[in-house]
Amino acid sequence: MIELSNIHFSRGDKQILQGVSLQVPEHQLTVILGPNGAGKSTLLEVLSGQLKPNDGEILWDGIKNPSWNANTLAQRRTVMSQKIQLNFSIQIQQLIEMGCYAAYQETSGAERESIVNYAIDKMKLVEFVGRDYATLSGGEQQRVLMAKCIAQLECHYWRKHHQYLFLDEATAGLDIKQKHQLLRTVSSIIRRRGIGALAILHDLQLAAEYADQIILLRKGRIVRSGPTVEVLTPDSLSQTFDLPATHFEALFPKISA
Amino acid sequence: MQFSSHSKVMMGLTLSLIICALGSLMVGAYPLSFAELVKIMGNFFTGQSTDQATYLIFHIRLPRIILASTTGAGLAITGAAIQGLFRNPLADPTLIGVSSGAVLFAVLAIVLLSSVLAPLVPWLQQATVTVAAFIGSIITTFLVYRIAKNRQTVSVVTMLLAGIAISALASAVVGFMLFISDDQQLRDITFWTLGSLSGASWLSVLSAAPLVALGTILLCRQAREINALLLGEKEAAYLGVEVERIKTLVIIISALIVGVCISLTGIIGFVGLVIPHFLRLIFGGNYRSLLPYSALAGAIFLLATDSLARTIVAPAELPLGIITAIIGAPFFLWLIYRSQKNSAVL
Repeated sequence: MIELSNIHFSRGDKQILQGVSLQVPEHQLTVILGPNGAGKSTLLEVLSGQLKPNDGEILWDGIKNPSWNANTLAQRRTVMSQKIQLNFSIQIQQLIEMGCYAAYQETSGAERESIVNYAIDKMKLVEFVGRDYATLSGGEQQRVLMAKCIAQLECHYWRKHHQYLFLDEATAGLDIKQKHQLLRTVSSIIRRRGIGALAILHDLQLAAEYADQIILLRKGRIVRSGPTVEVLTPDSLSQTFDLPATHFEALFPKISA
Repeated sequence: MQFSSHSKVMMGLTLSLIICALGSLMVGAYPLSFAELVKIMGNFFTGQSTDQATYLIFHIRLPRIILASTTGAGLAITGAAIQGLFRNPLADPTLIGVSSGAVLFAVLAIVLLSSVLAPLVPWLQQATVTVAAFIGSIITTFLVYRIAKNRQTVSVVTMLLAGIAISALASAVVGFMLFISDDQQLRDITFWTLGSLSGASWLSVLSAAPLVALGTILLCRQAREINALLLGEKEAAYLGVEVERIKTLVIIISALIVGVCISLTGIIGFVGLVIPHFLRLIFGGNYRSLLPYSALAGAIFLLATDSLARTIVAPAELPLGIITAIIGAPFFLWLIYRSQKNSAVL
């Protein structure tokens, strides 16, 4: 479990996170929702160790304010980003193998190859083997990036500590079917490997369907957090997104009922 | 015995380099047949010959061939590394200010120190210009790097912009120096800015080859990191790469390699740009093979073009930069045209 308590982060004079406390438990998908500029991406960067908070405490599997180097961090967490634009040609299996970067010393070439093949198989990318990443469509590229994340998680699975997966608006730019496919994959990884996952999403219905726990963020503060059914109410959504509650009643007839 | 395709390509390139070197030993203002070459070599190693041909081979052509290969390898491998680091297919070491600084200081030395240098023997005059150029390349790179460094991180975009600004400033000063220089100085400067290996000696080989060899090995060892950096700095950090350390390392090694090469040979364009792209097209973009291939192919390319430079108008010789540009620029245009047509990335 990763626990943040009272995290503050500011850029210059701008307060981006103002006392955020949350938990990312294993075996669960935690989803962060909130309007643009709420501090979702900053929160994810603090969690993933890219940014150091100005104040507050991080408890990572019981370790207080860890100051791991990039390699140790990569063994403990995997991050799936939004679309990556490449200016050079890279074959998809080479890109997927990059997931094994931090495990390079401990794995043999054959082990890495079998992990890459597993990831390719898992994301149904066999027909694209040998293809150049840049020649794939947006949805296919996103599957390749997910395969890279699977490779990274698998490389470190045998270690004793827990694994976490962070998704930074990873479904942006995908069509509705692709969004569901991606989140179903994430759910199955959570079930099979017991990892803790945290995703930033924009789509409320996707969040309602896949999240175990939801955190509503607005202007650097948490509006509400807890189990999905308790948090996704017209009232709390209205408070988070500055829209009339009636708007959300129409969106979630089942939840509001 | 089974060889992987990687080792096959490496052996093929090494073999081509050796053949080019042998060919280059034979051609020039005083051509030699292969039989003569073998005889001279044999005589030299049995220690019985001191004639002119032996001198030509061992004191003029051989150091020149080694310097050509070293410079070609150095320019091409740093070109590949800097392109990866900046995630920009058009990047080359010029971008980080290495060449502009070298030119500036070389020109300053030629023009301003002329009265100081005049009484010195020619090789010492040349050495002064070389040292000045090397100092210049290191100073400008450091300056560009410092401007782009903001607390812990180095912004490649800022570095690119700072490199362009400092290059513009340097070329303005160079322009002014051209304006106040006399005819002889103008010739020296032109020769320098167009690049030439005619100053090659065992001394220049000894000052460049160990550094370039060491730098090449160090860059090849960063291949996996540069591969990851192709995805972007943030993504590379997520994968476990110590991004800032790698950036600094690659920039310092590149500046040292390019600094020492161009301070000895002057500006030789297009090697660092064209060779890596050409290899990407054939062998793909994996830096684990791209870096060593670039070094070998760059060595072959510069050796071949230098052999041309000193045979086309023999006994005179053309500036090397002219030939690399005449071959490199149309080839680069073809690459661009091809990538447009296939709507592929370079």
